[in-house]
Amino acid sequence: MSTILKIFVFPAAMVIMCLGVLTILGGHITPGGGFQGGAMIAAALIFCLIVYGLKDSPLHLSHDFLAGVESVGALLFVLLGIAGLVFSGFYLYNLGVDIYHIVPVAIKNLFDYPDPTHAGILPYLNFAVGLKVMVGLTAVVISFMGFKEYEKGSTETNVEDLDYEEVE
Amino acid sequence: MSEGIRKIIMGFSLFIFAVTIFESTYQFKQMIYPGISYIYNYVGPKIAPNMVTIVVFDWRGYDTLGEALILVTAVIAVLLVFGRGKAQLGGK
Amino acid sequence: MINIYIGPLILGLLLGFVLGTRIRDVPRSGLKFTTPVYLVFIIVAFIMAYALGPFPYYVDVPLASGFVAAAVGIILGKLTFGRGTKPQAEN
Repeated sequence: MSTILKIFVFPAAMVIMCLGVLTILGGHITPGGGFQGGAMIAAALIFCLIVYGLKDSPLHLSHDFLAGVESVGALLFVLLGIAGLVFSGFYLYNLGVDIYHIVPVAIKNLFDYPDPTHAGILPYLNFAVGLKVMVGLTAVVISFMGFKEYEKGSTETNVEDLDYEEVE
Repeated sequence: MSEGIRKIIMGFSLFIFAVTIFESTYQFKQMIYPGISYIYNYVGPKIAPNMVTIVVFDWRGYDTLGEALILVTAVIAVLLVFGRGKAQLGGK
Repeated sequence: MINIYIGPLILGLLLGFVLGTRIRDVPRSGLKFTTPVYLVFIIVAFIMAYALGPFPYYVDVPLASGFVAAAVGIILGKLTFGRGTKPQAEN
């Protein structure tokens, strides 16, 4: 890749990541939301991966990070639903906007989003889904580019270098 | 079956199918009762301005939970197939 | 002093922080992204936030608060947990 691309891509990727965060945060007002914003952040990460290559990319995602963030995203969604089940009788009940008035006011103020719209738990659900989508899409691209290169420390990928254990 | 008989049967069944579809969509607008839509349009603007996000995450939040779990499963399956290595499963 | 809405600020800082911890320097490739690059990035972020405008129904500040919070979060994440050199053995 040429030098102009290598100078330009890293600041541009950071701006695209900030735009993706803006799309996630405005999920309940503007078009967008968790899935769309997560795809935009993944686009910025994949941009850096393609231009710099897997070994020299300044945005480096290790295996533990991918597994951890994806699990946290999915678990946050499920735990918000269980919180709705515990405090009222319904799974994924919107505890911030209490349309049936069955939850005490203290819990309603706890789960409310401090915002003129008072949308309840919707922005937190968007946040969880955004985390999940951005890490999932980037993990697929990294595994297509050759995951095992992370552990080799060599500068080029030869297929003969990947050691396969012999099957008895 | 010969070619001609097959063409006649195909044409006849296509004719019956087309008549059925057009008869079911004729004057479809008067047959719709917007029952649920009244509830959506009354409750929705009290929660947040974006009606699509309200329906996707609040009214049908259970389906979005299923969608999120599908994404996790798809990523795990792709990483298992394209991981390019062998897993040590133990045993002898 | 009017009321500043803290919801987008906190969530934007959190997301930016998670993304900023992954920035590392690679001295081998010959490109160095030093401190002036990040200063220019913050100034460009403020200008872009002013040009984007706030969300509808938001009346606190005339710029996009989530954008600025994400940019600050990236810088904070790089300063606290950013790695200096390329690690040899990753797992």
